[in-house]
Amino acid sequence: MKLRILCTTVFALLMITCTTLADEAGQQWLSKIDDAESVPWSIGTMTQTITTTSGDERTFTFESFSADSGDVSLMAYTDPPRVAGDKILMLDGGDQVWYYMKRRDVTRHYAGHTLKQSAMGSDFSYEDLSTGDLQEDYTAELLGEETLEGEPVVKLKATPTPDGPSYDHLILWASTNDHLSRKIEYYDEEGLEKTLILSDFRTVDGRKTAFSMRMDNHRRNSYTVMNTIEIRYNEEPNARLFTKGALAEPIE
Amino acid sequence: MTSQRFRWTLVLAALVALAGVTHAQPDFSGYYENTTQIDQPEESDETLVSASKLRLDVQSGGEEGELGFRGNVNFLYYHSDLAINAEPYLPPDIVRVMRQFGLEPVVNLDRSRIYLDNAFLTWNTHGFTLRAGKQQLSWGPGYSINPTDLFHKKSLIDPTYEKEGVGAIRLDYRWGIGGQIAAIMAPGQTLDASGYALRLATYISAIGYDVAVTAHSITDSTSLDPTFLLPRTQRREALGLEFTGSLLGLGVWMEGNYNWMEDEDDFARVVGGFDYTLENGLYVLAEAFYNGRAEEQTPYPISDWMANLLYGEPVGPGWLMLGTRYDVTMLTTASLYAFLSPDETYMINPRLTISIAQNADATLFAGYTLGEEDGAFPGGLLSGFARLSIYF
Repeated sequence: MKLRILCTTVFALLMITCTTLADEAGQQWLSKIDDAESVPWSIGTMTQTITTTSGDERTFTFESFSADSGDVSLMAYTDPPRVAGDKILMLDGGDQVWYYMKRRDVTRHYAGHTLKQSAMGSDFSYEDLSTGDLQEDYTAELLGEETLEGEPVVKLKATPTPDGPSYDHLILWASTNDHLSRKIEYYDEEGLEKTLILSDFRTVDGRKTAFSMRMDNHRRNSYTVMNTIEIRYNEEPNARLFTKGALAEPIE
Repeated sequence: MTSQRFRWTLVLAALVALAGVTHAQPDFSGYYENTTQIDQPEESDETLVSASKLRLDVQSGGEEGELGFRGNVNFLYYHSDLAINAEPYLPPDIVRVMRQFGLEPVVNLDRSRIYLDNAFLTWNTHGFTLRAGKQQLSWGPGYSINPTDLFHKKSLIDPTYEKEGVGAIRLDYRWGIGGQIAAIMAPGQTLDASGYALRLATYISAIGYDVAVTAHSITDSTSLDPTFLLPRTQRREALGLEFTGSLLGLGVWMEGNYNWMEDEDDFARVVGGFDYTLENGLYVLAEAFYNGRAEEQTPYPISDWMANLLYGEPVGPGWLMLGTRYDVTMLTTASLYAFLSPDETYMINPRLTISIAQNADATLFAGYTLGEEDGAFPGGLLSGFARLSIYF
């Protein structure tokens, strides 16, 4: 009887140790991904093409700005005319969002679970667009290593912290070479909801960057592709851009 | 007609010239839209109203340290009858009393209307922004109504539709992420008759809340003398508070003010609400509005109904609004809003917005009222709207 208790205790301790080690490895990988993906600041131009189940397409063009290692960001739409001048300001790593509608000259503040809403009708929600700190928003568990499209990758399960995003969990693949994310699956309580594929990696100002991001929505059978037209990391955007006051002003 | 055409040619030329003053290349954009409205009362024939609107926007300059111009001119043309019967919107008792006063419940429209919707010069420097001209002065986070916005009115059936600008001089000083002091003067016939407003706002990053205090002193002409049913002009002072943020995962907002009136009783108006997006993407919101200005019990007085008809003032003690919105497809959004009055009358407002092309939208929406005929939403009216918009 004593032996059985001892074996059970040793087994339990081993399991806890393994889990803790896996968690530590997961956290270390989150830290590496954060280091690889976080940029002090950026200025770019991007397109966002929505493709519906029936094959209809809508393409939006916007200028993007980020600073404070992605803690603050701004998307300023330039095309089509229907939304030209509209802006999305994200602060606190995407926890706070303001949407400025130029034609009505009004700003709306989105907070809480409202951030789950689709941004501009795309397959990206406001919280998907935020570039916050992974280590702040998730805890991670290392699931293993494998190869994805010829690239050696680690596979992580990332679970949101209590104040983190609204997903149940993510499965994330990141390269073991450059530590950049290659694929992310988004799960809610019902299962797999969306998949993000990052591709077309190019080096700009010494930083490797995914020039294409495709988000597939498995519930709607639709997808949205965000392509980078140009991006640079060598110029800090004017800090005033990341204020509510600047939303109604043209961008220099 | 020729002189009117000449006058508006001059206005357009002035817009372009003003844009040129800024030494920057003016940007032109706008849209054309056609709206058809059908009102189907329970006990009479339907009424059709159809209108075309062309909006032309001009923008030039306005960057830091540079003089800028923004404006738009609207060309509005009604294709249908110009005398709109307002009887279906009013309780029968009110219509009877109006007729006793020699007033017909009819709204007469102009066949065509060309107007400067917004047109203002703007100058930004070191956190200061000066705007002079006709402009938007919309304040407040409320969805169905904005008690702290004393310059514009919202339509309950179409609350997010653009509103006509107000002639004003406005100076803003902004600091930090959301700090703002705004001072507004809306010139009247004299300095005493002019409108003045002040707004002090900040973003409290520790809790993620936008908070603002507003103060107004304006000449109010949004009510009628209850005895003689004549438009009443009086001074109105107001002190307001608003906030937006999140609480327990919900988006929350509140907006309200207290109004000191020169001729009528002082009153308060408050609106507050919350919204949430469910896992399946269904967006839900609820908003409650308390209206301390109008009579609380039915039958509401004719002066309240006339103020509603003429100035868009709400009738009754307020409402509870419940709403939901869902992206049916990537290009189609459906929403449903219900307004519930304490007098047990209701209005249901379904809406469907379809992106029919990269630059074209179709919107179908309706208002349907239920309940007693003397309530805030007199039962038995179905109004349907179809709007096609093409942007350029």
